[in-house]
Order: sequence, then structure tokens, then C-alpha cells
Amino acid sequence: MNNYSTTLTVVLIAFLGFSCTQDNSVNVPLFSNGGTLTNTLPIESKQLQLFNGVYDVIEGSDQLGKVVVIKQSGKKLSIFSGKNVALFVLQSGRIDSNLIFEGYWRYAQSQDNGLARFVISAEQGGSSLLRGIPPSASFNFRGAIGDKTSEPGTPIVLQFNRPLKDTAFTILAHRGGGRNSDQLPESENSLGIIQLAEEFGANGIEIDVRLTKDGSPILYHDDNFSPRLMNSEYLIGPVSNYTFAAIRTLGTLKNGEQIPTLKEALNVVLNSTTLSTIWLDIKSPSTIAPAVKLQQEYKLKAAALGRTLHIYIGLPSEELADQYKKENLLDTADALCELSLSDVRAVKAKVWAPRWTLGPLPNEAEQMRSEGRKTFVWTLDQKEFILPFLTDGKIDGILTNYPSLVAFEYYAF
Amino acid sequence: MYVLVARGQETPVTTFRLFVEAGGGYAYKLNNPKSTFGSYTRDGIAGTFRLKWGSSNLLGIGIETGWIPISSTSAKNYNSEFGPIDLSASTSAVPLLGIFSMQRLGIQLHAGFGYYRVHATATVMGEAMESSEWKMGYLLSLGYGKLITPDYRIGMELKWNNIVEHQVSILSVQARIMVMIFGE
Repeated sequence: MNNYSTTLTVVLIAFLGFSCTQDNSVNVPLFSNGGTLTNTLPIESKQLQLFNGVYDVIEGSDQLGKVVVIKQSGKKLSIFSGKNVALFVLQSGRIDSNLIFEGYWRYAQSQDNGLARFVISAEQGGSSLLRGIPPSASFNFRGAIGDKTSEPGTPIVLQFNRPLKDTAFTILAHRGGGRNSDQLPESENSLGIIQLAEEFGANGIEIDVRLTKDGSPILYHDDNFSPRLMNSEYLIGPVSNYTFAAIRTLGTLKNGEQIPTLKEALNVVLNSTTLSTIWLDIKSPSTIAPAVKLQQEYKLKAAALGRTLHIYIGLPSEELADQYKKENLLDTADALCELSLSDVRAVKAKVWAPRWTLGPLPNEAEQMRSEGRKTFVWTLDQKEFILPFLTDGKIDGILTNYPSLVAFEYYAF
Repeated sequence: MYVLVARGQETPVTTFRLFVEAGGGYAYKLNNPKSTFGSYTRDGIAGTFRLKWGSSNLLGIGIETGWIPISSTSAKNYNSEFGPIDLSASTSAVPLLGIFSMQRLGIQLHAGFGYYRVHATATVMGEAMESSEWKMGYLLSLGYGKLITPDYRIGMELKWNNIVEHQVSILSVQARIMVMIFGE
């Protein structure tokens, strides 16, 4: 009986262990009652832009390394660090000429996070910045960070080093801003994550497009519905088995958002962001035609608003490239092709997008550039490989799950 | 038939036989609903069918299938972004598991691992659709079988089916009959 009991116990433990599911959720900490910013006046975006720059870390190098990048995004400031892939997202406000920034910090590849607060008094540079005077070499961005929801108490001091370089370089955030497994506040391929992409360091996004049973283009990565991406008891198996109404009614994305249509996503990009590039990762041949129709529509809308917005139809396979050619779209739509250089030329793609594991490929990228085409590599997340691609100088963009890391490497080198 | 036991001694031991088991009973989905519309049902009648080869008093291996209701929901004039709509949806699963069992003194423990064919149906705004997918999962059960004749047992079983890839667990209580169909 002892052997029986032992075996029973082992089997039970094994099955219970197997049944454990990983929790990927991260709660972004918030200041209680809105923090100090509740009673502040806004700081204008063009005033916040003056903070853009590369800063030396005077205090806080254990957490942030020696150098960070600060970049404005709308009414927020983001801080990017190469060490720990640290990211700050700070809301802004002012009381007279005293500038206050509150928000959160996190390490992008772990669950470490906490509150952050920075205060620039009028005498320490607040007045000058509000008058439009850029920071000098003696300007210090002073604040503190805390752990989780604890009040910030660990000092951080960042000293202005130089302004950010102008860039035509494209930093594309994967799946609209990041994957569910990256423990972000919004689900991948959601309208919410698209609106966060810029504060994560991106100026472009890649989103996944597929058709419902009744032909509506929606944003969803996988072929099949699954608990990895969805909360639903009744949406299982292929996405293409369900109508748009069924999908929107019977389930939500992992964090409770609705699955967006492609049209809704393009609307958000146009009206709620300053993103300049959208890579539509097309998931089936039948998706090409409706995606191109929306591409053309939103190119015109962007032009009418005076916006530069590149929308590329992504062709990741020969099947899709063949369908694209059959639809006679070569001179109409703007394509991005992941295949060989000859395939890029055959579909008259505007962008060549090789896998980053093929290396920087400077000669090939130079050829593309001489033909008026861009080169984006995907999906590059490893810190040690980003800089070689950047210093090579021939590629035009990087698709990544960690746009803050690419932004740091790009601006800081 | 004689079987060598662990110490290498030849001892007359239990014969190995082929068993068929069939059962049915009440099943209940343990997980709370992710979404409900109008009426919601999380229980129903489940069935089990096993084919097992093993000894009558210790170990056995086999395969199991059956039917497990998971949940269903329906609503009329449900307030949606498309206006008031009628909808209904349900899911169920057919297991296909490899199992092994241990038995002493009529108490049986079954453990199984394999796949469930999860099937969903939905009718939304008058359009019917269905979809299926294989999902990995396992089962654990504890039961008791009373020997009626050398070839027949009847008993009860408490089963826990965990469709891991669908993140759904179902608990069921089933009556069953076990019949030896081959062997001495």
C-alpha cells in the first residue's frame, strides 16, 4: 500500500504541476488619486519636445546604466535605457513654472516596475523650458523611483548631454506595440496598444490582418482562436469559421478589449497618433484585396490631413506574392516583401524586409536603396545585435518587440 | 499465465485481461464563465467509454473516449454593438486519451493524457457556424468497482477532465459498468 500511495501522490503532483498556467499580466502602477498632476496645468507638446535628448545618468546608474534617452510623445515623456531594457512613461503638468512628471517605470523583459516622479523647479530650468529655451549642458532632470506602488524614494538624476539626432529611421513595434507575453498594459493587436506604441519608442507599427468568415478584415495574429490571445468559451478553432458579429459578441482580447477591425486601427493611427509607418502583415491571400482598398482610402485621408503615413501591404510568402500579382496591384498598392530581392522587384515592393538572422546584408540593402526602396529587418530584440545593424548604416528600419531598446540604441550611439 | 515480478521470482500472479467500461453521469464545468449572455448552462450529462488491458487487481493501460458537455448560452434581444440580437452558443468535447490505471481492493485510480476534440457551435444574428479543434489535456479519476461476477463489476467514479489548452476543467460523477471481454 505504501508504494501505491507514493505513486498516487507523484501522479497527482505531476498533473497539478502540468495544469499550472503562467500569468503574463503586469499591472502598471498608478499614483493614488491621480498623484500630484491632478491639480496641474498642461505643458504643451512643443515645450515637452525641448526635453528630447541624450542624458548622462548622474544618480541611478545601477538601475539605468550610464546613458538614457528622453523623448516626448504627445503630452508624455518617455525615458529609454539600454540597461535592463528600462522604460519610463511619464505624464506631465506644471504648477506655475514648476514642472512635474509622474508615471511608471518598468524593465521591459521582467515584471519589475514601480512609480516614478520627476520635478523641475522654476529655478532649476522650468522657467527657461516654458519660455522655449532648450536645456543646457548643466540641466538636470531630477526625480526618484519606487518599487511597485511604493512612493518614489530612490533618487535618479539625469544630466543633459546632447539633443536627439534627426531621423528618418523607422522603429516599428511588433503586433501594434508588443506581444501579450511582453506583459504590457494592453493586448497585442488592440487599439489600446497602438496608442501606446509611440511612448514605447516606436514611430511605426506592424499589425496582423486576417479575414472573418464574412470577409471583414480584423487584427489577429494566430490562425486559430486560443486562450493565449482571447477570453472566450465559444470562439475556438480557425478565425475564418466565425462571422464578424460572432467574433465581436462572443469574445474579447486577453485584457478585455474588442478585436479591432483594420479600419478601426487605421482610424486610430490617423486620428490619435503621429505614427508614420504601418506594416500590414497579411495572413491569407483573400485578405489582400480588402486590405489594399483600405490602404488606398487611408493614404488619401492622411494626405488630406497633411500627414505622412506609409501603409505597406506585407507579403511574407510566395503564395501571397503570387496573389498580389494576380490582383494587378503592382502599380497601385505599396507592398513590403519578405522574400528575395528578385521577388521584391517582381512585386514592385517599396520595402524589402528580410529576417534579421540573415545579418545586416549591407550590399543588398544598398542595392535596395539605390532602387528607391527601403530595408526593414524583423524581429530584432537582442541588444547585442541591434547596434551592428544600426552602425552598418544601410537599413532603414527595425521591427521589434522592444521599441524602447531600439530607440535607446539608435539615439544614444 | 505467469508473470515475473520485480525480484525475479516466478510466482503465480493475476492474469491480464481485456476490459470494456461504459459509464454516464453528471458533469459540471469548474471554471467561472468568461462571458454570459442571457441564460447560461455549465452542466450536463457526460459519458465515458474505455477499452483497457490489464490485471484485475493492479495495473492496466488503455484508451478512453466519451462525451463531455462544457457550457452553453443563449439570449434574445441581447444588447450588442449591432443593436438587439439573438444569439446562442455551446461547446462540448470528445476525449481521446491514453490511460493507465491502478487498482487495489476495488478502488481504481485512472490517469489519462491525450487530446480532446473541442467543438463549438454558435448562431449569431441568424447565421449558424461551427468549429472544432484538438486541444491537449488530461484526466484523473478515482472510483470504486464492486465485483458482481468474475466478468462484471459495477461502480461509481469521480472524474476530473482538464482540457489544458482550452483552460477548462470539468468534474463529473459517473456510474459505470466494467466487463471483461477477453481473458481468463
